[in-house]
This record gives sequence, structure tokens and C-alpha cells, in this order.
Amino acid sequence: MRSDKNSQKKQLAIKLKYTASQFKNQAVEAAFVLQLDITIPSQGISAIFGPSGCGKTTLLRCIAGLEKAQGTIQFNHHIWQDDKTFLASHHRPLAYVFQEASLFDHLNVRGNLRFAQKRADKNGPPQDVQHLIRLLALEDLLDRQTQQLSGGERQRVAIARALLIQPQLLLMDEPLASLDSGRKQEILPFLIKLKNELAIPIIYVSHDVDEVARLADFIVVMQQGQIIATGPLKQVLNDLSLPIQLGDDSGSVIDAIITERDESWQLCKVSFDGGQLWLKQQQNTGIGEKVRIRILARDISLTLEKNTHSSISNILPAKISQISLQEDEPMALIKLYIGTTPILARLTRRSVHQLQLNIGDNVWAQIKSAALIR
Amino acid sequence: MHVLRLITFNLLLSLCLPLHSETVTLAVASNFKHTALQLKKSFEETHTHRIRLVSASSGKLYAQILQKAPFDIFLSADQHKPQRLQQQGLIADKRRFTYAIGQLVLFSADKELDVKHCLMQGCYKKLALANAQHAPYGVAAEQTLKNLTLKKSTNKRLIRAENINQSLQFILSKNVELGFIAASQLKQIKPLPAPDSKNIWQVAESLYPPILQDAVLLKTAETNPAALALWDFLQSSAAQGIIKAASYHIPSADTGQ
Amino acid sequence: MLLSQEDLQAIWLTLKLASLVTVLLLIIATPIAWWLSQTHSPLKPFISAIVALPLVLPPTVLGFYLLLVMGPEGFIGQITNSLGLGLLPFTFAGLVFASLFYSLPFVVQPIQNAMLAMGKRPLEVAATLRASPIDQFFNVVLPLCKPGFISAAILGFAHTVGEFGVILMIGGNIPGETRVASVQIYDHVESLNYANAHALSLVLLVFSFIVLSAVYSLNRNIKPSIAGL
Repeated sequence: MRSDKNSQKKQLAIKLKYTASQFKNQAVEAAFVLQLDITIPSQGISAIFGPSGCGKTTLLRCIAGLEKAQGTIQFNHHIWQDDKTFLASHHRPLAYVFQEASLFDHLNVRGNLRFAQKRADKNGPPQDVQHLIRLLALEDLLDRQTQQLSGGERQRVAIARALLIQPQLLLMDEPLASLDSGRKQEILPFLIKLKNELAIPIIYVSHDVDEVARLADFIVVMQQGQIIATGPLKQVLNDLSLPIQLGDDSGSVIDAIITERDESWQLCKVSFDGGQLWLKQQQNTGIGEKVRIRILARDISLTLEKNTHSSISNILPAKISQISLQEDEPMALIKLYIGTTPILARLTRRSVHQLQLNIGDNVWAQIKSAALIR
Repeated sequence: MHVLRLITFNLLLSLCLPLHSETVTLAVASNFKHTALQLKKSFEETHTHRIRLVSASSGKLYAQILQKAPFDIFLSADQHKPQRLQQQGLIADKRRFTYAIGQLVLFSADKELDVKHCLMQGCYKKLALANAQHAPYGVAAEQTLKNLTLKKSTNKRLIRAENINQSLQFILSKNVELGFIAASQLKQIKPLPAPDSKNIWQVAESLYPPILQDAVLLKTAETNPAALALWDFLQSSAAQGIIKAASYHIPSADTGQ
Repeated sequence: MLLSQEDLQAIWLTLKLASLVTVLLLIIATPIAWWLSQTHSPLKPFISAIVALPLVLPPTVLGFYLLLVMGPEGFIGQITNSLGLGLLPFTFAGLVFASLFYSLPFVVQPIQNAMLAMGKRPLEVAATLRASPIDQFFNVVLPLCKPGFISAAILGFAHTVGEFGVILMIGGNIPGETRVASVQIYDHVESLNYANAHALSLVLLVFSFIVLSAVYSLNRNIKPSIAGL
């Protein structure tokens, strides 16, 4: 069993088979089957990514013990489920943030938080409740009834409540999916802060590439109850077999450091392993800060010679390492290295042909836009 | 289909009946219903009129009469209610008579039980009787116990049924070992108990005041020929024969009125 | 004063019966309602039907069968007899037992509906907040389903106060033991004591009105201002 080999490591090992035949859907419909065998690091944010109905939520519910599947689940050294044992949800040291905030309507905000505090792990480290309340900006909401909260506020309360239980693992099921984009932008910074300030591993279910690119360190890609890719985020995003499925959303994530600010043009310069980029400035970012940059493959064009008369200011030398062409697909994906940093470019198949691009060629990558996502 | 045809047939029949055929509504105390059905059968064999039978407890029928229920003749289980109706001027002049005198019996569902002996010795846990507050058989039973000087010893063991029908139910379901009922009820028990078996004790009439059951013709029925015909029939020897056969006594000529 | 000593005794007995039955029913009905609201068992329709059956039978008919079942030859009568409890008909315990049957659907259904309306989610949330099933029941199910429990208690109480047919059948009209207010009123009516009947009915109605409106207004006041901690 794989857990023997890895039992010393901090990780969540899951081997499950789940058949949803006990749900009485229309008999004609084929039963949904979830079958997987994965190991997820128990640190940072691990995203479970896939389209709706692929089994992400079911997997999360199985981890939480809210759903019973055959198989084994082992968290660090603890067996949560195997042939003989099935630890009930309330015995697993986890917390769960549901898609809809699911606050207790019979309690106000403070009551909801107290509910978790009272049942928190008594052996855990002392908790700075006030810090958490500030972190999620709940100070003014404490005496409100849950019905009086906006969707974003409800979700923040739900996150705080989940953290107050002192979980060793935080499960989040599309916590932003039920919010409009404005509310999403309200919550995302909180999630990033949480990740940076709290050392709790998070499993984050999402169908939104952008969210995943911003938050995740590790990614599990699912499709129809199966795992189709798993690994560190940057590696998986740059895997040529996967981005074809992401289409327009294909892109790379680069970790960089802000090295310069140009206040007159409101730009900032970031440096990464292999080069530098000029980007739009963002509030609250200072020199020396670590940031994450997302570059969509469709925003990169390639030239054989450096074009100095372009409006594009970010032009970097790169080397082609892989080309993915498919007969029935007009678009091609090319994996490049800028220094040691891999990025993806999406070109038409015709351009690849006309420029006669080959593996190992040195080219210039013109980056039309890049987003500073953290 | 069959039912429908039957209804149609009856409708046609009622249309074809001779002009002088009328309907009389007879309100009967529950405990006399069984006998009333036999009276109805006999009456309708000899008359063209039809009887519509309504039965409930005397108290309910009384309350309904006060509220102008469309009854013609009321056969009460007691004398009290007809008297009150008379006082209230609701009955036709001098149209009240005692149609039956009830007979009290002590009965047990246990064929081997000598009920009289058991009553006297107090060998039972529970004894059923009708509620004396409103049931004449209850008054009779209470009086019997008093006359036998058993009142005190039995008091805690008395189960007061709503009426004698319920008293019989308690006995038959063996929730009580024995109970007071009307002699007429014994005719309804299957299999019919032998009148001289030891689980039946015909209580001597000297032990309780007579259970006089009065009939009245309501004022509103004075012009109904069917009601008048039935009123006469109830006092006929034919009707008295049926009532006697049902284990009631009939008053001697001058008891009525 | 139109109320006799016996009338007062009947009222007191009625209240004692209704209160005891309500408390017992809340205890009995809660697990039944819970099971019915959660289960996918094929037995569910049958159990639901059994719970609802007392609604179908006329009270006197139900009373008649209870009389048979609780009698010496009945199934329950044999059990109570062998336990040395004697027979249940004509006793206060018998009334309680019969009333439990009679009022059961009125208590199960509001609770079951409240639990269905609540759904599974609050329980899942509570479970992931380390609340054990018992903890979940007392701190999530009870407060969230409180309106359902209150409706159930009101219906159970009111229905038992108004119970007549069953009690008439199995009570035996024993003062202080089985002669409840409804039977006492019936006796007054049957013995033509209409004034007494009116007085007792009025007292019963006024009292019930006060109790019910108190509970309803209490319920209304509680809901919007659930105190947090």
C-alpha cells in the first residue's frame, strides 16, 4: 500500500471508489462513479479542479466523511477510513466551507463563531480570535443576524467559523462560486491572506482556472470521476496535454519579486528567474514583495527577431522546448523557457508552419499582457 | 349499476304509491332501536305509510327536538325527557304513554360465573353499569346495589358506561367481570345465552324503580296521518306482542299517560 | 358558581392528562419524526401510514379497538397483566396510553415537516464543526426546528384536551381518574343540565384560548430575537 511508503510524510493519501447508485436518480441514467488514488501534500493550498459534475464535491465530501465510499483515506499518520474504520465527520480534525455559506440561522454572527470556538480542538495552539476577526474584517458584523448579511459577508463568517474550530485541514467547496464577481474580488484577498498567515493546509475545490491560478500551490485535475493530472500548479499548468482542455484559459503562473516602481507611469517591474516584466501597478504592493503573475498563452506571440518598434514593452528571449499540434485543431500550444521559467504560448497552426518553428529554436516572446495576481 | 337501478326503482315506487301514503319519522332511543326495527317491519306490512327511523341517545334526541328536529314520534328510554317536552308544550295534547318497561339483568361473559353469587360476595374487580346521571338503567342498577346494601363495597369498582350498550361492550370484551344491562340486550348476543344460565341474573323488579319508557307524539306531527297511524299501532296488541318478545314488560292498562 | 366540585376535578384531570400526554408525545414523536425525515428505507411509507392511521378511524371506533386490545384477552392487556400492572381500561394510565395513540400524528407531523424543511446541510455543517450527533440534536436540530416542536406541542395538547370518543370508550367515567372535562360536559348534556354544560365548556374554551395564545405569542417573540452568545 502506498501509504506505507509515505507514512512519514505530511500528506493526505486517498484511495476511493464511490458509486452514486444509492441516489435514486432516473434509472436510465448511468450511475456516477468516482474512482481515484491520489496523494495531496498537506501544506499550502491544493486545488481540486474540473468542470461541474466531475466529482470534485463528492471527493471533498468523502474526505470530510459526509459521504461514504469504499477505500482508504489517511491524513498524515491518522487513518480516517479503511476497510475496518470509518471515522465520523465530527471526529476528523477538519473544517469545511460549503459553497453556500450555510450559517446557522438561529444564531447571530457571534453565535456562529462561538459554536465553533466551543468545539475547537482544545489541544491546539492558542488562537488569536481578534486577529482572525480583523483578518476577515468581521468586527462590525458580530451582532448581526445571519439573514442581514450579504453573500460575501456570509462567506467570510463561514470561513472564520471554519478556522475557529482549529482544523488541521481546511476543505473549501467553491466558496466563491455563489458570489458575483465583485464579491469574489472581495473575498479573494482574504483567502490569499489566510494562506500567507495561517499554516493550515487547504483543499480548495473550484472550476475556475483564474481562482486556482491565484491560490493554489498544488492541483488535482478531475474529469468524469477520474483524475487526469496532478502535481505542483506550475508544472501541471505548463503540461501541454492539459492546457488543450483549458482552451482559452491556458496559461502559466510565474513567481516573481517586485524590484522597481515607476510612479509617473504607474507601472512596476517584476523580476523572475529568467527575466523582467513591466506591469500595471497594484495598490498595496511594495518593492521586495513576492507576487504571482499569470500569463495567458493566448497573450503571447512569437517573433524570430526582436521587434523594437512594437507597442509591446515586454519582449523576452525564449527557447522552444515542446510543440503540440493536432490535425483537427487550428490552434497550437508551444512550451517555451524564458531562462529556467516555463511558459506557454498559443499560436495558430499556420503561424507555426510559416515561422517554421522547431524544438530548440531561439525566439522572442512578445507578452501582450500579464496579470499580477497577488 | 345494481345500486343505481335499485334507487331508480325506489324512486319510481314512491311516485306510484297511493296518495294517502306518507312518511313518519320515528326517533328512537338507541337501546330500543333493535325492537323498533321489528315494529317498523310489522307496521309497514300492514300500512302503506313508511317509517324513517332515527336513533341516538335519548338526551341527544331531546336536544334535537328542542332545536326543531323534524321528528314525529319520539320513543325515549326514560320518562323524564318526554315529561319535560310535555311541560314545554312540544307534544300533542295527551299524546304520551309508557310503551315499555325495561328489565334489568346482571350479566357476565363468563358462562361459569354465578353472577348473583359473585355480586353478593364481591368476587369481581370491576362491575359495569350505565351512567345513572342520564341512563335510566343506570339509576335502576344503582338503586339495586343500594337495596342490596352493596353500594359502599362496590363503589370503587364501578365502571360507569355511557349507556347500556357500552356496558355490554365492557362485559363482552371482558374488561369487566360482570355488569348490569337490559334484558332486551341479551337477545342481541350471539350465541344467544340460555335465559336460565347462571351468568344471567334477572334482577327482581322490587329492587329498583320501574324503568318506564315513554313515547310522545310531537305537536308538529298532529296533522301527519302516517304519524297518527303509527301512534295507534304502537298501542296495538300486535306492537305490544313484539315489545314483550323483546324482553320488555308492558304496563297494565292504567299506567300510561 | 356554576362549576361544581366534580367539574373542577374534571378540568384538573383534563389538564393533567393533556400535559402528560404532550410531554410523552414530544419524547416519543421526535425520534419517529427524525427517522421519517431522514430515511430512504422502503419501510418509510408503511411507518408513515401507521402513524397517520388514528386520523382515519373515528375516535369511538379507535376507542373500541383499544378497549379490545387493552382488555384481558387483548395483546396489550396480556402484557400489562403479566407485568403485574393490571388492565389499562378505566384507569388514568389507560387514558394516557390511548391518548398517545390518538394524538401521535398531530405531534409527529409538524416536527417531521420542520426537520424536512431544515434539510441535511445544517447537520453537515455541525458535523464538520465537531458536533457529535447528540450535540447536533440539542444545539442545531432543536433550535432550528423549534417552531415545529411548538406547533406539535400545541396540537398535541389541544387535541388531547378535546379528546372525547376514545375516552368515552375506555374511560369508564370514573371521577378523578377518567372523567375528563369533555366527558363531564357530555354527561351534563345527556342529563339535560345545559347550564352546567355551557359553564364548563366556557371555562375549557377560555382556558385553552389563553394557553394557546400565550404559546403562539411566545413563539412569535422568540423567533426574530434569538439571543446569540
